[in-house]
Amino acid sequence: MLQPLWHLDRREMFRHLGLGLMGSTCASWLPALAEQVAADPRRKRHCILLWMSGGPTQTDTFDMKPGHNNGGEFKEVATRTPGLRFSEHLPTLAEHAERMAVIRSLTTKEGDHERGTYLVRTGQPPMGAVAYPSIACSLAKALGATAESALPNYVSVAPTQQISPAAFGPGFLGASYSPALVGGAGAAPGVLPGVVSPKFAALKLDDLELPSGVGEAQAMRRMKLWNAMEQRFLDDHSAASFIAHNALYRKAADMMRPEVRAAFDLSQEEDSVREKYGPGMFGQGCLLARRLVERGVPFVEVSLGAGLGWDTHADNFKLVKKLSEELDAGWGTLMTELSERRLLDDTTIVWMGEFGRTPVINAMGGRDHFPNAWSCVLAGGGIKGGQAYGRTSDDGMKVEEKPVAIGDVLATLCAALGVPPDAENLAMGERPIKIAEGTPIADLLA
Amino acid sequence: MGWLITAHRARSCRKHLLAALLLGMAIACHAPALADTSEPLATGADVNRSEAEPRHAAMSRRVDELLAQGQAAAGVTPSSLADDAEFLRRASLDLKGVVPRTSEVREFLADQHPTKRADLIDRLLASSGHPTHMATTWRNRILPAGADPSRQREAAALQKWLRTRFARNLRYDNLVGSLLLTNGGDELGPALYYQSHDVAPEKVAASAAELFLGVKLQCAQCHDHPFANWSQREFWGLAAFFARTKSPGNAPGMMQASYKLVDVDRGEVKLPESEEIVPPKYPRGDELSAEDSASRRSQLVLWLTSRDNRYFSRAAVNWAWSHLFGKGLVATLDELDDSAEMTTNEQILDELAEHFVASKFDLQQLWRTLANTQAYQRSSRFAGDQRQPPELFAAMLPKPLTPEQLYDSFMRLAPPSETTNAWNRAGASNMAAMLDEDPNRIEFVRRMRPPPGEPTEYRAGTLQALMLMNGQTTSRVTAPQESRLLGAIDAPYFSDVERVDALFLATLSRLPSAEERALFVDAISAAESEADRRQALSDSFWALLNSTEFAFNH
Repeated sequence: MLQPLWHLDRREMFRHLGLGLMGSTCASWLPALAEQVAADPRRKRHCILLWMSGGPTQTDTFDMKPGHNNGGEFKEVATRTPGLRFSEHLPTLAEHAERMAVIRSLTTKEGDHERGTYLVRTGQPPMGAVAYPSIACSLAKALGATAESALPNYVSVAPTQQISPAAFGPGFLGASYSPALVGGAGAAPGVLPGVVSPKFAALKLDDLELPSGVGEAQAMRRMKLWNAMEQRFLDDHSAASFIAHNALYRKAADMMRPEVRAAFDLSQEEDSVREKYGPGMFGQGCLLARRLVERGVPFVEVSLGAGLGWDTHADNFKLVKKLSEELDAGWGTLMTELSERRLLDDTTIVWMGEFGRTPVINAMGGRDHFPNAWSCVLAGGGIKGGQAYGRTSDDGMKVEEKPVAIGDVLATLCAALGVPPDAENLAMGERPIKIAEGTPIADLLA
Repeated sequence: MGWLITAHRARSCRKHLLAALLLGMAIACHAPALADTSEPLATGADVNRSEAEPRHAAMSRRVDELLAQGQAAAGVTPSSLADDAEFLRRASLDLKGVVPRTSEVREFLADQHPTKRADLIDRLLASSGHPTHMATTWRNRILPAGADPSRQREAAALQKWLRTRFARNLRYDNLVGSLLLTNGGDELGPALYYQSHDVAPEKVAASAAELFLGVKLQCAQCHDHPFANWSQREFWGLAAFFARTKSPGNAPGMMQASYKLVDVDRGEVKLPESEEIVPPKYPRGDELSAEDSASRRSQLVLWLTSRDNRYFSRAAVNWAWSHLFGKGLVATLDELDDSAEMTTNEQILDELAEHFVASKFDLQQLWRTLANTQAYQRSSRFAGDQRQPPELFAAMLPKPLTPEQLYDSFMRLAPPSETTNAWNRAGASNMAAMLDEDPNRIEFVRRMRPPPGEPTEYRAGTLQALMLMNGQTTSRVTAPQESRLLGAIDAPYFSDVERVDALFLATLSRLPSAEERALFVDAISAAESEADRRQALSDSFWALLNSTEFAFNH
């Protein structure tokens, strides 16, 4: 018989509805979960992907060419790690260099935004018959196996998905492994990215809030009717798929509990903290990433460069200076705070875009697409920081030492997170496909 | 039962099969199968007349008889028959892709005619929703899972192409033939099948083998099939038939308005990591004797769609069965072995396949045959606690609604949305408008799409649940001020009981039980103002739309 739920407060009610939902009890109902539970229940790991939409310039960030014509306007400065030097516009990150490994010899073959994005995010050449999942979905699935959080396994802040939608999705893993989108860009036609409030960018998780016009009391009435219907139906229908559906709804209702939703409420942070991260979507997204990692979310992605912000074909230095400042505030503060909270050892951070940019500066003071020799950065947990791996020529035009393929980067990331890169998922029900097909780079692993 | 005897004889005489095959090829060269790539409605022999032949009723009975034997042997008592409401909802979703309208439910429940279920099946097959649903189902089936969303326009063209063919009940062999023999160009749609497989011989072959032969050969691409007797060479022999089909002038990934496919006179496949060319060879059959003027793929199609190719007809029947029953009669045809004794399900498949061939590959008749079985009418509730082995088909297996079924069923209850109107008004410059695809539907489907797999598995995640609870599609359907249904039942001359009944009929396609009625009437009559009442109606509606019962075809 149904409890008189309307006497309870919302929080209690949701707890009531979600009772017995998490943990092993639901494993037997959901085959996918059961499979995950079998995975190694070691310490929790997290991954934060900082996605640089448009293709960031390596020459003005992490692989500078001072003294060469291609070098451009920015100065190179020392970091905490002797010999490892960054752009002058990344001062906070320079403080964390000993936790960062810069890969300077990345080589890929796609110089188009759509195709490059697909290649880098899935590790697979675009346009094949198999719809590959993005590495983010695969890792969230693998890392989420032991997550007991009511929160989603993969939260993505303001991604520019339109450029290459398949590169952001779960592919053959299915929509249940999609990211939970914050900010709403790309979520639905006509929805704008998070509106910037006077002081800070406002972040909001899609569909987590009640629809407009529906109050808490009303939501409670709805759940009460729903629960009554469900109990009656499940009393004499016992197919496993029915139970899975019911369990999933209760888990979703669980996510709507105020204390769970509070993870997304950045107003709970001091203004001084919010300011340190930077007021934009990226900075606030990095702050959100910290809050989510604290609460056990295994994978968070934050995008910088709404649209194709890093696509600096013209006016490169003005644009990159601004982007670098945003990057340094958000990422730098994130490194600081994760480190202070002793979370950095369990959190691996990746900085990358779809390709690099030409070392040669074009007539418009810009840099163009350049997949031949570019950089990405791995930082934090599992990574041997304080190093630059690989080397490009003095003009930056080619890789001279230790060329790295994208598959190797993804495999290294997996290894740093304690996920075997050759762990397989089944495509189309039967074809085993590895999470990452490259080889982990031992020198980069702690 | 003459056709049954033929079936047995065919099984025992493989050598004769080959002769028949070659003869079939010679005849089929002039058959409309190859010519049917034109758009206008054909009136010739390639279009099936949907006459109710006594044969299909006999076949339905025969299926039930065989199933009963299997169930008896396993000591399983089949479930009782589903009630009328349950059956109406099931058949509507399976054959038309959408829940029935309230009026249809009321009429069907009131109908006293003894053949009302058979009549319903005929009505559904004749409805305009049937070819649309078949086209959607096929499009999802033949394109790789999670196909690139940027090819939405081509996918819509393919949908339209398929729908035209299902609408006139084109013979199944001709349908498959015209899909595989498309040259693209002005014929928008079917070329996407090749394109989404990169026009790569091995990818097209793997897909075609699974779809049209019921054989999962993907793993034979790299090595011999681990479980069944399919060699790597056999796989590449099949792939060789697609080695000479090319798409000229299309850079990979570039989509032209007219994607062309041509058959050229060179192009071979090699065994992986070797230089050895594999000649075209029919699976489990002969090598292509000599290259003649007909393209390789047209020769494959002749063999493939021949009435003597039992893989072809069995694969079709097994798929149709799984569409209705949530699970195929057999998991795959990989291990088809004519010398071994057949299981009951293999026997059923075999007889249905012969029936399908004898009906001249009449898909509608196949649906009619399957849907008129007692097995299709069984309740999904099983007797006792014992869960029976699903392959006995003693109880109906519940299937989660597909994203398309869910959206279309929602939209039955929704007001015409502003977005949709705006999109309809956008004019011919808008490609989506040209191809009649609702962008909200595309987005909904994209976010709800489960991974490929068994139709009975439920594999959504919390994000999908949140979207259905709080998302804009649900909100639009249930908003008190916008919902067409809520507006209608709010009229003062309705009692609360009538309102609750209407909500149940619209969503669950059934009347509430006395207890359910009391529960919902209580919720509604507790309202103190008109606005409150409208809100209570909206809440009731929301609870029903989000219920497990609504989410499944059971």
